[in-house]
Amino acid sequence: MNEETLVKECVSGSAKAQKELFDAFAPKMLAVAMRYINDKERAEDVLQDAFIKVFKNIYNFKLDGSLEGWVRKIVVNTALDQLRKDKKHQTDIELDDVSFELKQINHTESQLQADYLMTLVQSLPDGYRTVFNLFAIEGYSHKEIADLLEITESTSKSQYSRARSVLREMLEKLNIER
Amino acid sequence: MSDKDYIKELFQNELGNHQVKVDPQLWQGVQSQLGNIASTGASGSAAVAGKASFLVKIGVAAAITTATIVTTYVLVNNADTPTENTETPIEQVAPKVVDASVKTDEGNIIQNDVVADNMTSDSSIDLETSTTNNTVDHSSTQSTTNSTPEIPSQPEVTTGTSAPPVTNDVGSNNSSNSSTPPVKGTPVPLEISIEFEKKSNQHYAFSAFSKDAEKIEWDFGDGTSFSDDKAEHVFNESGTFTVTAFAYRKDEVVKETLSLTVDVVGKITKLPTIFTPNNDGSNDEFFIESEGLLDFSIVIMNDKGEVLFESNSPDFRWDGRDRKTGLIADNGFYFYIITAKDMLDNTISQHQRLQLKK
Repeated sequence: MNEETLVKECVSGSAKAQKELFDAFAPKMLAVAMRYINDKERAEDVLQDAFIKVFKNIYNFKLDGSLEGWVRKIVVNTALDQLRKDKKHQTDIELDDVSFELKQINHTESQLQADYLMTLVQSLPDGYRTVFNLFAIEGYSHKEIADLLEITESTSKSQYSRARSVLREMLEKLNIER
Repeated sequence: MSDKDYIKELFQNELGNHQVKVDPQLWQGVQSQLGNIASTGASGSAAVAGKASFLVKIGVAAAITTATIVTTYVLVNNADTPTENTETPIEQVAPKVVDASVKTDEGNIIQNDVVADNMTSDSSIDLETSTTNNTVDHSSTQSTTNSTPEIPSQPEVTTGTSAPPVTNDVGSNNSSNSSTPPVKGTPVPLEISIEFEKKSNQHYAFSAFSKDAEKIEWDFGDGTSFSDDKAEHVFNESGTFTVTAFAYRKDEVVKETLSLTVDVVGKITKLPTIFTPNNDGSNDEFFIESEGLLDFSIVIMNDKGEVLFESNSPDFRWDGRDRKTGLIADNGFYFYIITAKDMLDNTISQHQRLQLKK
């Protein structure tokens, strides 16, 4: 199915088309969500919410635009909403939650890069991380970021440059040069 | 100016199109919520309502859904094949029908066609399905054969000798050849072939070749999968893995498998994500458990990239003290990176967030 047919089928409510659209974009969009929400399970929740919005609003999508770009924007906005909500209801983790994660990623240098950079981004504090993602990866302007996050343009700029220098330091420390 | 924002470029290149494997359950979550939306009528229309009932069906029994698909297919096929026979010069049909043995041959030919269309198998069909098929077969073949009134006096012979073989053939076909619902009237059979390259003991590159597949999916046999025609995979554990590539085209699937044996000696068996250095005797130190690691190194940093702890021993224990101040670090998230090799020179690396909570 080409993109146009796919969108039209989704508009008419075809479950098959919806599944196809989901399969096509979900892996990339989960990576997007995980850059904003540094917990995989919560990022998965965001992904689900975002796709529900996608399907509820797909009749709004203009066929001359990029479908991926449109979906990505919804994912980013859903993630930002989630971050705002989390800020309001921040609670401490109970000690009972002490958990061990038995997860191991072995990799060679070539595979290291993306996963590794992902973890670096995830390790940034919320504010830096959000601005860094929006500016460096999603390509928003500082003006747009300022509007979106209700901060000033200069805050956006300074958060970005702090994020960048933290990341640079981390990279240098770990000697991952490319 | 050229390398002014090297960081931006690096992260954008590496992460802009980064993909993470999606748990299939996520789609079910989306689907079920869409179902709810439909039934509350938020964007209600006939199509949406139809989808809602479709969802219910899926929820009730996936097996039954498969049965329905297969049944439909058989119907279509039966309607197709005999019709073709009767449409092509009727005079030729009649002689064939008279000779029962020839007709049986043709029955076999029909069967072969169906098999070719049916190509792939996955043995998940159940008895119910084939029973359903048989009943449907009877009615449909009979109705098609009856609808050839041009052949004089032959109809009895047709139904008597040739129809039952056809029915049986198609029926047995479906039970033996099983379930992948094929696409009717697909001209080119869907095919797939695969190649692989061993990059290191545990690191493989795979390529799948399929002319008109709409999607290629890899199952690496260790619980992970990936969808693209080219894939690279690192096997974490020792073992023999069956790697399968699936080519999808509409409802058709074909697959190709290969078997690989991987030896990994070193492994990390326990990797905490949180510890509580408050001297209460429980979980006061951060450490890992591992086997067979050589050239070990761990670095623990804070979010500013400042190193709080380093060690070259896999048996290290960190009490949470910042090596600069000698004090237990603040509550919060830290970040550690482990790199090691094992005897076979496999790379074993791990990076993860670590929560410190006093």
